[in-house]
Amino acid sequence: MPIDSASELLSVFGRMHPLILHLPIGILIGLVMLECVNTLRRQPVAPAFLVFFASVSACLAAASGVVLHNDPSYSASEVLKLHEQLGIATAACSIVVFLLRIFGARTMYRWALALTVIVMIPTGHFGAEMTHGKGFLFKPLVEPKESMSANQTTPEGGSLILASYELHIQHFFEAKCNMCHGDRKVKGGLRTDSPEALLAGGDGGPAIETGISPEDQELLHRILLPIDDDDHMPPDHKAQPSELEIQLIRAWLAAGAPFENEFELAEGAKLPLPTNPANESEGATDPEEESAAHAAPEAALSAMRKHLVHVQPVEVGSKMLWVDFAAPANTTDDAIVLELITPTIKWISDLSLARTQITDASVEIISTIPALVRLDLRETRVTTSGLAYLAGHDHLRELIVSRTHLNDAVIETLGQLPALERLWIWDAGITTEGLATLRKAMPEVHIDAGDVGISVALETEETPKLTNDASQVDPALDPETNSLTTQNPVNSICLVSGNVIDPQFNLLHDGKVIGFCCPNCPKTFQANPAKFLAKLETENDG
Amino acid sequence: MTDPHTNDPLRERELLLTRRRFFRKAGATLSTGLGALAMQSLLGRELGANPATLAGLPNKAGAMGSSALPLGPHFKPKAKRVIYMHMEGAPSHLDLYDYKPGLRQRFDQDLPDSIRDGQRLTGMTSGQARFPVAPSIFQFSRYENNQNGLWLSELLPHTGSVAKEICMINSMHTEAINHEPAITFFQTGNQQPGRPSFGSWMSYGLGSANANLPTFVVMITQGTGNMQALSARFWGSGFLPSEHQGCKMRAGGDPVLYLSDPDGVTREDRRRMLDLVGELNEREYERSLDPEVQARISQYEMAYRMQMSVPELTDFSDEDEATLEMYGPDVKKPGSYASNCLMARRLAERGVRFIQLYMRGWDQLGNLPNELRAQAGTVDQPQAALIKDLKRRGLLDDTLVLWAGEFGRTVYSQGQLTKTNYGRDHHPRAFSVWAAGGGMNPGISFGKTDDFGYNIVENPVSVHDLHATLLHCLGFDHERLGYRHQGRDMRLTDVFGDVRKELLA
Repeated sequence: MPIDSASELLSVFGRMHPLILHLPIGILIGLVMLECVNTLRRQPVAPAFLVFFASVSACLAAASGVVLHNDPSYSASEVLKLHEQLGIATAACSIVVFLLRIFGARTMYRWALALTVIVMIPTGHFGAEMTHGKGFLFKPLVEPKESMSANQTTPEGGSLILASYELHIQHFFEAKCNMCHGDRKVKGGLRTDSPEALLAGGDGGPAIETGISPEDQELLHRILLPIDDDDHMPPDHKAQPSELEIQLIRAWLAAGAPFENEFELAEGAKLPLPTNPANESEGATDPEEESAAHAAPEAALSAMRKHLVHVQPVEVGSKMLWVDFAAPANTTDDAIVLELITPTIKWISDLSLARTQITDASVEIISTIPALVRLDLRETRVTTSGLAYLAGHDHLRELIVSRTHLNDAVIETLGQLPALERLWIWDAGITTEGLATLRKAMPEVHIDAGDVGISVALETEETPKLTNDASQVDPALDPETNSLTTQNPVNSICLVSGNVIDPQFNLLHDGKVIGFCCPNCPKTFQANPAKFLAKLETENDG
Repeated sequence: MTDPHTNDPLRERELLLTRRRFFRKAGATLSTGLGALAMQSLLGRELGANPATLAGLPNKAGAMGSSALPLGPHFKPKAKRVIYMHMEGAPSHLDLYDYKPGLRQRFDQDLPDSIRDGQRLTGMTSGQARFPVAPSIFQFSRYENNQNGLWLSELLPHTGSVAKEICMINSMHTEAINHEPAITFFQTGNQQPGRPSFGSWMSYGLGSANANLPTFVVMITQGTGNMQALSARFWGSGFLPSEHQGCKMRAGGDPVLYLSDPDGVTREDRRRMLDLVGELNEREYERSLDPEVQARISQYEMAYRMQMSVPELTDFSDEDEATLEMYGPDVKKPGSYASNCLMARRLAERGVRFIQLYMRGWDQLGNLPNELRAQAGTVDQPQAALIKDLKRRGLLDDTLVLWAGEFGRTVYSQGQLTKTNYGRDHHPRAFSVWAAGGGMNPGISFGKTDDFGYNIVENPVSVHDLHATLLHCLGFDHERLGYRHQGRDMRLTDVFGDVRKELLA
């Protein structure tokens, strides 16, 4: 095999990491045991060459690890970072141990050795977690509970369990494969999101072949490879299939990979539990009802908040969300919208992307938000073809597209929003004629294009003339009528309240002086004099 | 005691101690340097995070009890934010909003005692021998609204053009007769200083919708007339945690004081300094458990983010000419009412919850016609432009706009009355305010005063009623938005207030 450059050799060295790393583990632990025995028996310390080997192997393990880190198949994760830092620390400690062995005191050397092993243990643990998956170590302790819950959902004792591509296999691909072999990414030229694509295979040949054993078929072969094998699928930093899922795939391939018919699982096998509940809702009809069952994932909300996006339930107790990108408007583009919106898509009801840097691509994502009621796209680069993605959305009630870049062709899309009630479309590139057509086409929709609701003066009074004309004055409130206080009223009790009258509130009505008890009753009286005068007659009759 | 509305100080302290114990334990377990590092990064992340983003979900603020606790609305709100234009000095309702044509025939007549009905007088008119009626000399027009029209004075032609959005209340009344207590009452629900202002209650209740900007911003315009003192406590947070007090944006120099870094200090330097100070503050908080320390930490972080967000906010260069023209010629003059109205819109679209504009100089005790003409001329065009601008951007629906002074003015003249000049004294018994958008009933007039514009004869609305109604639009039951202080659950509406359903859309 010709070697092109030193970097390829280096990468081979990196891939030797899984081999090299076991050397320092063995030697260091061996050294510790040796030193324990030496201490108890009061014998001299271990030979320096052993310590030297320990140190060198630790350094090599660390170095190969660092090289391997640069390999593109590894994605940066917290665990990887932690493992790498601890590994380097182990190597550094081992050098110190060696130096102390040569130059230092015996006790110091032994303590340093102990410390090195203490640092090495978590290094190894995190390393194992990367290759075997999180929680690998304690899985046997947790496993029995899982299988118990599985038993509850699958028929017990039934010898024959049927599965199908549509109900089971498809879910497996959605949960474990389609992220990289689907419509978003097509790694290795393979797609696993449809029967045709699966049969077509990828760059490395067919994934499924009939007539050979399941284990020899590329699909299962890759899954069954050791996790640290480069060809292992799914990649080691991704979620791994469970034992039940592997059994399911094996049974499916053994049955000739049927896409239509059901197939039998092996004796004693169980159906795996659904792994990704998000995929269960594909066929759900009422998104609000669906999302009422569980709240938006907290991790997705934290991601939004970390990005300074405002997220808040639309009302107390609701799981539906108001999401507003006002704070990060300048830095929000399509990629961020895709990343932040996608995990919460079922819970968004009120979304504002006003003044962000998004384009039509985001509207495509937005159009898949099932329960969206209010959408604000004001002052974005969204165009008519972007809005077209929204056509047919049957929950959208309020749409703000003021200051977007539309043209009259958008009328067609807007006509396909059956729930639309209010539309703001000011300065969005619509012509006057287009606006008129729009209003005619959707008379029941309130359309604000910055041209509605302006009030005009219906009338203006004449230039005010200030006079002191008593004849115009309301007698009830006029000080002139105070002279009435000296006259005798026709009634003795107030017609309004029934209380004793007070002469200072006397009032002249139709030539009669009428008495009242307080300043408010005359006003009540004047509102309907006939009603109260009728009372006066009754009083006089009685 | 799980109800966050009852802020029991003992329970709060208990929660704080629990948290402290947790971290101490965590510190002991993770004895390696890594553990300490992890803890530090955890703390750092929490400090950087906005504590007020997701109401109702437990977060750090929730665990801390009083500090930065966002309650979230009690029910689905119509309004997400408020723009409150306060006309300091009290504009004359009789010359602007409360049309009394009958008074024109009563020029210089004495105000009947039955009308004044024992109303106490200010020291400025208590010595006057008589109280001559001063009809408004301004011509009124009736503007189309959703009822039978809104009468407005010739001083407000632009405001007339948005009459269909205005919910006019002609029957406001207040308790105080002097500016200081009346403004305090209007802002805090109490005449005595010391309660949190409306904006602070909203900051506390709604939380931030933009972690880059303060929740409650105050801007002041110097008017033309007699200006009363405007104390910073009008936007103070009272007993609420101090991060809820209004942030005053200034007209000249730095809009927010001390926001630019000194020469030679880079942003990285600032970050490192804040990290260190934050660490020391965190240590101090662990020692004293004083929530004010947390407030200080979050304010420092806010200021750091505002260093980036405020210059962008205050730069009007992205506004087009037509918009600038709409707000009027003063719009480019920082601190002018026009400029502040445009700024209010910019703050509203950036998610600031409570924006308060103070316009000073409405105290026309004498020379009212000239002074009011100038004063109203300054506010008319910009405030109408603000309504129109919010409306066409789809923001008026969820932005509650309030225009109010602290009381009204008397129908009788203070000082010399002539056919061209008069003054008016303070009048708490009846005055007019208006609201727009945010769930308020558009295009209506509510309440009536008598023929003198002196007493309310129909549908009186108290300041507490107004507060309760506005809180309703913002999704709060005013009886449940409370904060325990000195052993009592305090409210913006104290123990009063009714939601006036007639005012709601």
